[in-house]
Amino acid sequence: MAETVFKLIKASRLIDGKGGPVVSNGAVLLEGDKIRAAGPGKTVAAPGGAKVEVLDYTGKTVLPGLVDCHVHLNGFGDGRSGDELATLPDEVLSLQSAKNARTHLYSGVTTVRDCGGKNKTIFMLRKAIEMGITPGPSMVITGRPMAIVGGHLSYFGIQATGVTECRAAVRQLIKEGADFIKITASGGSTKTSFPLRPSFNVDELKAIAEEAHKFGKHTAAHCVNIQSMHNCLDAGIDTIIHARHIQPDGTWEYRPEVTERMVKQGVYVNLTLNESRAIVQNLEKKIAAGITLTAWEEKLLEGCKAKWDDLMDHAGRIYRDGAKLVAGSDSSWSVNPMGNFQGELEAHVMAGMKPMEAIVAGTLDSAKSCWTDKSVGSLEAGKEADVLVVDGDPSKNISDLHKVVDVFLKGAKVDRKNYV
Amino acid sequence: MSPAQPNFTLIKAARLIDGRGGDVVANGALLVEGAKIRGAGPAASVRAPEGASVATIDYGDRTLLPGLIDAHVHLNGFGDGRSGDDLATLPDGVLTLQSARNARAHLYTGVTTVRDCGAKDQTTFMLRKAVEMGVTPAPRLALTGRPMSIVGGHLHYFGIEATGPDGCRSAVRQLIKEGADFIKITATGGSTATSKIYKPSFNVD
Repeated sequence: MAETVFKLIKASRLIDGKGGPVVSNGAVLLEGDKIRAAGPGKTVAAPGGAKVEVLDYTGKTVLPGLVDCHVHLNGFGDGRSGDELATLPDEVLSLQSAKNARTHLYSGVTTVRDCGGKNKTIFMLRKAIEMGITPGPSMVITGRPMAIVGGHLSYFGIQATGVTECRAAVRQLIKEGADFIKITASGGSTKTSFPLRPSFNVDELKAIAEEAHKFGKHTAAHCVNIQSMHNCLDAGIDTIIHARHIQPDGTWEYRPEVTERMVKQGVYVNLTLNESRAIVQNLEKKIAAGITLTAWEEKLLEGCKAKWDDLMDHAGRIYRDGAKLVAGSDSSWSVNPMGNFQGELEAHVMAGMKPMEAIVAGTLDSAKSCWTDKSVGSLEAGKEADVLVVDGDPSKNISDLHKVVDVFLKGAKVDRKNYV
Repeated sequence: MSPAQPNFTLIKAARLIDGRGGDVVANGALLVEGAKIRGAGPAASVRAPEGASVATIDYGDRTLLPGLIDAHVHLNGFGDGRSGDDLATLPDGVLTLQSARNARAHLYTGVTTVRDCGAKDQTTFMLRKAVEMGVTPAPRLALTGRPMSIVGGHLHYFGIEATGPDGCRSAVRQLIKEGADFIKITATGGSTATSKIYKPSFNVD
């Protein structure tokens, strides 16, 4: 008979992921792949007589494994455009996705929501992870993202027009194994799309949301202009991604009434703030190393520098106006490689969040927006034993989240050194 | 900018085996220039050019020998007892990921070149592309892609069946077009359910 294995993780500080005060001398008891108890060390004990492996992390902080609600596992994060990325064969993209999944897991992220990959590449990765071929975080996936004809991410393989096609596309994705439906409700970096304009009409978005909700799945929509946000709010979309307050002429103008609607409807907002900062950091590193930027990268660098102040100003206002912010890195899109979800949380603190609020935005609230908060996102009895141990105290200094000591996924310590 | 400095590494060990069956060389050394071997033999005879900067690795009481070459692998496989017929039902994406895992495992055990004797569809070619792109590490790959079989013959489930000299020539040309380095043939049946293990498969012509 297999013996139940308990692990008792003790640390100087415990952060529960729900935003409660930091617990001094905290402990988490893991039973197999689940959390059995968490709290002050004195109150957490294995049943009498049970075999327990004690892991003492004195001086360190234990918190839930991070939840990144926005990744693109297909991406290279090396500056290639999505249009170029999509020309690669599916198997190569699945291999790259495996590399990214491993990198993100090793950096402390135990759950990701993939916001769109080509064809079946993400489903293939999930199958391989389930078969034990390659390690990766738990995944909430859409497979292909839904786009209008020529719309943003249309090259990943699913375009729909009109209510009937939209319903059929949702059913198709769910048949393939989608956990949620990602929609590009405005244009974006895709060459044939219009970033300053909405894409799907409200009747189409409504049909997508209804159809997804009917099967117990949620929806998340890319919106980089004001009208697309209104459309999604009219349609009952669950998460609004990017939420850029940009007018049809390209100028930034913060519209409090949009945030007000988001608050009223309980919509989650995934701002993807760090991408611009990461792009500037990574491209400046390239320049410093004497590498000549491509014309596309030059344009990207200029644009990101120019929009940073607007972005921080708007993010701060969205936060202060009470929107439910959830953290998602959007890596490895653009020049924003995997393994730096922490950078997204830092950017949220730069926009005005307290470090503890940013941690919740990257754990429990992020899990709520992915509809996985019943199983992950906080250190609570019954949840998956996804645990992160870091040096320092991220509730005081968010950047301490970079100081990863150990990562536990479903109760097993992740071997971050060996490439298994 | 100055031209790139040649990058030399001198590897020393108590014994050197050259891979050609010659005597073991006591106190051997190997000089590596970038990705290539520049010299090998008794340490006294192996030297970098005057003035070159050299990194030295001394392995003391160990043995140097060439990276191993495994002339027959199936990177698609799981090695867990499942039949090839079962294996071939898995999607190409999954088989490519498994191939990456196998390639890495073999490389880490000391095999620096493998000849893959047959895999499903384009899976091993896809692995090679990913290796070239730096997505995943692997030994040097000599590939056939799909192995050639008769209709229903051994490994036919990997995707190429041919009948008659014209069918065979066309299949060879197709594999070479896809990037094959050699042609693997199943000239008898094997473990494949529909093949006849004790009978030849292709005719001599």
